[in-house]
Amino acid sequence: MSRATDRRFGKRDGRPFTFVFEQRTVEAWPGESVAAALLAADERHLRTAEDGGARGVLCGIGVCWECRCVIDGRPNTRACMTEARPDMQVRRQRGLSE
Amino acid sequence: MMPTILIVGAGPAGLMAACEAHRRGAHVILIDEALRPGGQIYRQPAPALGPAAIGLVTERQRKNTILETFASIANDIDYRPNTTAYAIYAGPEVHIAHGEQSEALRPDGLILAPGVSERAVPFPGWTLPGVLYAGGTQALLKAQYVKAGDDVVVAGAGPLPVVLAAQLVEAGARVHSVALLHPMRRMTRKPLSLLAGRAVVREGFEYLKILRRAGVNVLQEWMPLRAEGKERLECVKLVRHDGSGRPLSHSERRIECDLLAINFGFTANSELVSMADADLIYDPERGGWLPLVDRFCRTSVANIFAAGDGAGLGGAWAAAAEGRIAGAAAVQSAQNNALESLNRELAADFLQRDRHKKFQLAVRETLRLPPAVWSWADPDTIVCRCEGVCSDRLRQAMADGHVTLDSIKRNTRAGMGWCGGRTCLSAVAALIADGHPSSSIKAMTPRPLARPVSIAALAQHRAQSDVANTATSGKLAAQT
Repeated sequence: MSRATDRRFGKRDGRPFTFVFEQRTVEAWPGESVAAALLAADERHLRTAEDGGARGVLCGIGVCWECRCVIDGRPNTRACMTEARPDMQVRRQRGLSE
Repeated sequence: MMPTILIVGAGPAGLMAACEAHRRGAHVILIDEALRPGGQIYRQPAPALGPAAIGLVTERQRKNTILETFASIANDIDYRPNTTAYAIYAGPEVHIAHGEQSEALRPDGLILAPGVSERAVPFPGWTLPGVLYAGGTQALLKAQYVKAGDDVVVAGAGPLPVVLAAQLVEAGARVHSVALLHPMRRMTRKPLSLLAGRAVVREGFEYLKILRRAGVNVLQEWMPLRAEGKERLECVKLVRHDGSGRPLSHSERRIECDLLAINFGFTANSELVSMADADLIYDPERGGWLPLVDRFCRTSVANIFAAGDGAGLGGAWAAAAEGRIAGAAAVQSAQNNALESLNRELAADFLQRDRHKKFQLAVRETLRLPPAVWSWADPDTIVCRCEGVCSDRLRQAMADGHVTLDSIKRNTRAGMGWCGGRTCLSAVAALIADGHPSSSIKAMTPRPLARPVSIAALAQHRAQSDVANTATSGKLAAQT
């Protein structure tokens, strides 16, 4: 079941901007975390574990490190603890890094 | 002399400890990993997002009281958000990191209010993207105004699944079912405790009303059998169980969904208090490894105090009261004053704490995990998500005689990854005890770093004294 609806609710201050996840342009609002913007855009698979398994946000509060991505070239960056910024380059982390 | 009180954690306990210690004339340093005060329970959105436009049913009034009280003193204390405490040595000497800087602090009193994380119960498919903790899903609602899914199943124990399901409904998600491990009426086993928490119980009925109005199935004595999907969650199989966590045949329900939110209780973030060498007890229903504390929140180590859920689950009301008690006691102790006078001065706080801890006895009835839950995992279900250690690998290690967390860690790498074991160790401990967690389970030997810290931060270390610097850089070098 994959519906590409926007999962944001309520009114947001600020103007939306975009960043890149893998090859896709993703919309975000000031104050959103990378994890929140990706979940809102229905992107769930944020890293591929060493065993090849897909992983995504689990704890949402910085404890579990399951959402670690490569953000602007920096591996092991938690999507849930990183604020989205315009033109950020986010990639799925594969294994330990690349 | 004005004592320096260091507080770790800015949830209700840490914030109220800071207010009370400040009120009593202490120099207060409050450090917290988050960018904004409130902890997990009173998590705040980034100011840039603006105020929440839709009214989630929350404990908003309580939240505002705590946050406004803290805001009134925030500029008068040394409040350091986005800062991590990663080691404690005798003294106490606390090492903290902020960005690419680290530093050692030697306060006259230390209050640990580290809070809790969600307790993992591995079951087949729980590593799929789209399976989130209920608390994490709630954090996304509260602070990001984002629903983590549109078609939702919530499963777990205790009160959080019901609360979260109601909040998701209010945010516009389709919540299909809430699968509760235990019937809610279990709470009535402790009628006097329920009475003590009647304000919270009233909130609970509000949440249930929302679920009823939305036509959400509230299933009691059900469990998640497996989460399925290719690279992301596509459906969940729920099943009735026999009251002790064993699935009943022919009762399976398959529900298509894109979010499964789970919560099976909480684990105290006790790495720091353990590293401080405080005496711990193991009590899974109150949060796992907990510091032994007295009425004034004193641990077994001089000048170290512990407060809030991280010192034993009591909920936000108890945590706030306990924070004030710890804040006052830390200042009194640092000035070598007797603590008995606090009994009268803080009578209202002792009363509030005791009332809510009493209510927790009723909640605990719904958080107790029957032994069979530790058999939900298939042999190839991953338990340690960081290191990819499966259930059968752990059982094999145990069969080979590795029956302590330290030994299992060395043998399998479980607990050695990025999260530092905070996700899997409570589950591994339960597996060791073969589903009968007992007080004899020893916590993993705590070592610095309690949290990942960059090499750059360790390299740029500012010590308060040269002696401390020599001692600690040696220990840290051994770890990195």
